[in-house]
Amino acid sequence: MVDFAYSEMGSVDVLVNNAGIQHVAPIEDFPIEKYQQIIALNLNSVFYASKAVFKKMKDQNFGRIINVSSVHGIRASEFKSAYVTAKHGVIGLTKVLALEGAQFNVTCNAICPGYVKTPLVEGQIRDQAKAHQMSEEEVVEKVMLQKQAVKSFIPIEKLGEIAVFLAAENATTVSGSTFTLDGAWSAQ
Amino acid sequence: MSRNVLITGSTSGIGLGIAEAFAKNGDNIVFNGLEENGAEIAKSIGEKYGVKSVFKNSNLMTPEVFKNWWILLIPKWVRLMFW
Repeated sequence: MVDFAYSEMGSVDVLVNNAGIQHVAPIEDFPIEKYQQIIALNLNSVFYASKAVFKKMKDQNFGRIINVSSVHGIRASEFKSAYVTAKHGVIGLTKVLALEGAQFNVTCNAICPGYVKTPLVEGQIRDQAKAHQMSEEEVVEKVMLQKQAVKSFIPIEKLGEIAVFLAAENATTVSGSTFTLDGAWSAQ
Repeated sequence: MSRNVLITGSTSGIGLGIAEAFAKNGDNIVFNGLEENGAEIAKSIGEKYGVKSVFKNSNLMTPEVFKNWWILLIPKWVRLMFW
């Protein structure tokens, strides 16, 4: 993956670790295989990809790593043991990489969105409806956005704008941070 | 100066939104994701914003894909003997 990027582009200046999956179930019913897959993709792949670019970012004295964590990187919800564990882990890794890159103009930050309407969240609405035995509309109102003070989904464009801001040439001192766009969920 | 941006999981959802924001900013994008039409998505964003864009469909769950992807060509029982 990273070799492909180097051979096609010549350098990787910005790495955005975003890939993620979700599964919602009480821990006693949570399939171990699902847990392992979520940790492998949502957490371990962040380590693998960052490791693969880090030396070259240091050598070119520029690098921006942006990890898409989640409000679930700083808060928990029931039935999401794997996802919450992985996303908390991503924030820990973000801080370590911020320290390791500090002398080399390599920054690392995490973005923590609340609910963004994506195919992943649409799947969750269906799963939660099943788990809570509610209609999908009720799940959106009473379960998903219940924890967000601002009762609307986070616009994808805002996440993009924050990522571009974090990748800026002059954002050297913005490192090791978690940027929450969670409709004031974690303010409570 | 346009930079090169690698975004995992960028053929849908948040990743695609972030890819579009960087492309709009004039940066080149390496797309990654599981969508079958990933190459088309990469091409259309590249053309829309006039930036270079490429696509690689990789499963990111194993470290080999980031470096020695060719190891996966070796039968699993052989790999288990050595790794």
